[in-house]
Amino acid sequence: MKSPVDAATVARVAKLAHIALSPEATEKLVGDLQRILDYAESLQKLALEDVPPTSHAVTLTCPTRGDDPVRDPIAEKVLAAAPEHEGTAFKVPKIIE
Amino acid sequence: MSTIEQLRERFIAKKASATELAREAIARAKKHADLNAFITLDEVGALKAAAAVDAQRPEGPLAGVPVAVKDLFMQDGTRTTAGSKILGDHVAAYDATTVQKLRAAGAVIIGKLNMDEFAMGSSNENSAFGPVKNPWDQARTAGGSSGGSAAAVAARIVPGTLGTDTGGSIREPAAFSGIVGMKPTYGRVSRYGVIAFASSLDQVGPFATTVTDTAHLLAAIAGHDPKDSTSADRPVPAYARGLEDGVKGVRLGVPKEYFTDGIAPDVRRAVDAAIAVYQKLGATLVDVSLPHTEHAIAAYYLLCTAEASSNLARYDGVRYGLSKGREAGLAPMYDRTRSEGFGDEVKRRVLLGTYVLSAGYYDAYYLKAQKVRTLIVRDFQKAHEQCDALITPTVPFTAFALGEKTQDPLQMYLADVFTVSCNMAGLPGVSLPCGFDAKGLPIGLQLLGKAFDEHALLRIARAYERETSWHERTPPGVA
Repeated sequence: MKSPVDAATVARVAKLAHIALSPEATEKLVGDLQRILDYAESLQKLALEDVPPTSHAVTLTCPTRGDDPVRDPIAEKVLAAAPEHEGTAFKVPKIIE
Repeated sequence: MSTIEQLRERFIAKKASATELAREAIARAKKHADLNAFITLDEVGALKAAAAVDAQRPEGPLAGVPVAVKDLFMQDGTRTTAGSKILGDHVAAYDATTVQKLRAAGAVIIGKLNMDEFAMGSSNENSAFGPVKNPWDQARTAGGSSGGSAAAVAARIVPGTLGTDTGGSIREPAAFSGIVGMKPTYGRVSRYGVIAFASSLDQVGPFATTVTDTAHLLAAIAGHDPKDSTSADRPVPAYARGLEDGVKGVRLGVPKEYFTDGIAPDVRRAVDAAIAVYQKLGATLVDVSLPHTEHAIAAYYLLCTAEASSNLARYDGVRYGLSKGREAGLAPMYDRTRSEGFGDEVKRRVLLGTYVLSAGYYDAYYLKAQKVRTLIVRDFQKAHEQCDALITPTVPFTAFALGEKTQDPLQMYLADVFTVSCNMAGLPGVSLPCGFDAKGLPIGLQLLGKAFDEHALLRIARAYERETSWHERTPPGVA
């Protein structure tokens, strides 16, 4: 599947990724992404219908632990490193009028 | 400077205190400041830690030894930037497990090492703090993304460092800098407290000037960590033992796909000569094939960017790091923070990853890349049925000039052609010095082992090192 990348594609993806781009940056990215995706076209030639996907090279299990309360000593330091916090919460700009 | 073993010996024999060893390392770091290997040289913290080591007199494998870590590792109370403007002033609130383990082994951490932003790069030119220069030729890259970790060891500032390897970020800079660098099996070393790039591929590993020192560092940091659900609950061998046992009867696989026309002639000659050394030492050579190698780079860059786009979503100006445009509202804050905080390569990868995961393209790119990953895993399984380890060049060429590949991201990605498959298969790999090209630049030999067989890999590497003296050479102006 050949996928042409244009300025609208880059703008759509940039919006999803929450990255604001200048027109010059968008233009450069159109070329860069197109070249990388053209290179990746080689994958389209492979017969992969019967091949299962691999997300991790090792078999992952979900280990559990006891439901033991632990007072995390780092919470205050983490909050202090935040751009803005109030009490025990991170503060964000108001989103509801 | 000396090896880890020699410095530890000086400390144990009370010929030098940890404070003296740390001071010497800091002085060397300052002398070689032009390499730009450090983002933060933590003189105050290092001397405080050294004083504690002197008071406690530990006897661990790294007792009294000064080391440094890539600036991707959380170190409580120390600035931890990931080489990014978005974390430029971030002070870590806790220690990575590996940082704790270095301390528990008696080491003194003297600072945080330069790197490509969020470990994305092969030349360290994507650092918000400027590129690292190669100690062998300062007009050239020391490799990436763990460029500072490699340069600090190559310049003999410290005898050992930690880095991370997602697609070659330990082995490539080790090759370019003429030292040993090991990427352990996925899960061998905890990733807790190490800032994530591509979580299914990232692995922590050591740099050192000798194989034995590499083994000491790996022994110190390896092992299960309840705080990392992907870390393996398996016993950790005594890596530094049995390293002199040789390679008689060891089967080394030579994958034909790694010996193509694209390899620089000097690199080819050096690797062929290394293979001949192994034959002389009693190893058997086996021709093997990794037929999907040609698709590895494409699959790797689709997978790692997809994972990165998800991992880096957390840098939004809310919980840590840079925060811009708060007055304009939530969404504008996200946009401005990320636009001003991320560098060009990080933006490129986040956008590529977002694209391949987005509706309409997931099956065509991301899912296909995951299936190619399966084929690459199977390639290695088949090859390893016939041999104990694979032998290849680490990189097809030696260190390239700074600026040479920065305008063409695809050319930069191709530097990883011999290193990315190992990460996709989750296997251990090591790069060690095997010669120099006509320009006097180091050449790396790569050995790729079976899962959790780092011990064999180190023994095979040591057999070659014992027969050769490449690792004893130091860059110009480095004693």
